[in-house]
Amino acid sequence: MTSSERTAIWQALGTTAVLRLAQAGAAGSLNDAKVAVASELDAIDRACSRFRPDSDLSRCNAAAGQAVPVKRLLIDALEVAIGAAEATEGLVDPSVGTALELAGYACDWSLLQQRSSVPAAPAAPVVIAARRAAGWRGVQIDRARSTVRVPAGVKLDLGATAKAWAADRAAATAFRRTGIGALVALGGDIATAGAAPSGGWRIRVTDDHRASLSAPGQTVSIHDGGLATSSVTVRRWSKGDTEMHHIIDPATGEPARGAWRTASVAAASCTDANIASTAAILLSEQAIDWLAQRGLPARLVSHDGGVLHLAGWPAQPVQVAA
Amino acid sequence: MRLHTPNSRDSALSRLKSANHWLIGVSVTLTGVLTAVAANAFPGRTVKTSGAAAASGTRKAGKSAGSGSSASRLQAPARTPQSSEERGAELGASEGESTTAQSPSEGSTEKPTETEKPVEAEKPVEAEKAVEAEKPVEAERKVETQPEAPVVSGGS
Repeated sequence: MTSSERTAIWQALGTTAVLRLAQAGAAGSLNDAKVAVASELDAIDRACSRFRPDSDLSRCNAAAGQAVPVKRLLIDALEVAIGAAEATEGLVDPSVGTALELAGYACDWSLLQQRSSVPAAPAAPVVIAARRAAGWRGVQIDRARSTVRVPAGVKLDLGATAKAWAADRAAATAFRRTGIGALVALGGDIATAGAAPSGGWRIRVTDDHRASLSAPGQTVSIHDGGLATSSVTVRRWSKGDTEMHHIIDPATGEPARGAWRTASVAAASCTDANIASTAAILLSEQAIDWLAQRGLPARLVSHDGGVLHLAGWPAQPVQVAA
Repeated sequence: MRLHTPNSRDSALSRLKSANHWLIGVSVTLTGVLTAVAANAFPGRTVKTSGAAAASGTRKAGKSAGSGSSASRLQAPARTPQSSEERGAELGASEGESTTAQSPSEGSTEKPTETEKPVEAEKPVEAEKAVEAEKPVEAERKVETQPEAPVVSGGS
């Protein structure tokens, strides 16, 4: 962990976690908030990780077809994931777990990165079977009994929503703990709670959350809600001769091949922002109308570097030659 | 000409009725089977939001769903993002002198800046090695001296 007066940085959920307070609080307040946030993120990881065999989600996937008792945390996360599928008409689909595995993303990202390539594509019938198995509508959640039943043949992956949802919860936790406005960033998914600092929370939007501040992009400020960026330039690997990435199109069961390489969206929550940014990647050109109709400020970057600002996203300042 | 007795006529009508029932049953079953086959063989998606379609999917998937903000629709922020490039330039976030951003122009396409070149697939991996080792130290130093250094939002 790295700390300063207002900012703490550490690793969580397989990515970089940043906690920033709007102002310096009483001595130890940042650390108190960080401990609370880290504990919450750890609990979410234990409930929702696809790569931890002891997680509630892994147990549900392993016992597909049967109702499995789970913690309330997974039920909450699943309801968010199902809500995302409903809000996007199935575009942001949590039941693409099998398709992700067939694409080669079958282990933790840190392990996948170490491999130069994953085995070539499986036979067509296997892919078709996985495609057919995708079915978020078949997931049964029984909150009263605290059980989840995943349809037989389906594997869930909450990668499209869980991290952003965790950021929303973490920011709220930090705000409750300190009484000071808080921002939490999890791998580039940014959530805020409470009052923003003067001038707003400053955010550098770029292709990769690990990039330095000088990387190509735009700096904006937000005062509330969340901001999320989805990009096909990260989490890439080779499968045979094909370049793969982690955003799966549920209509094809394969990585999205749309018009945008990166989509950033601001919304009332980080969860909503991330759902919209993922949907924008999948919708390709149709994302322009889709986002505008919902009034979601967005910045879309095409594969050739063209930038499109939508629904109130500020224009990029013109660079003036010295 | 052959004469039909009432019994033989009733018997024939009964057979016809039975055959009709069979035909209706088989056609209904076939329709259902073919619909399921077609739905699985040609998965599609609807771009336009349809309340009825969304509601029909909620039954099974979300018996207890609806508590999340995204269950019905996605919500826009109370305030739209503001440009912050001037201060970003001061912190070295962007090269050159910047002018203040104009009011947002919806749907406007912007000529990419020179720095907006496509990112190569290998770049994130390289960036990760460098940034993971250096970012915490860099961030700490900047927060101490430049308390408003922006947080990065990018793909992850």
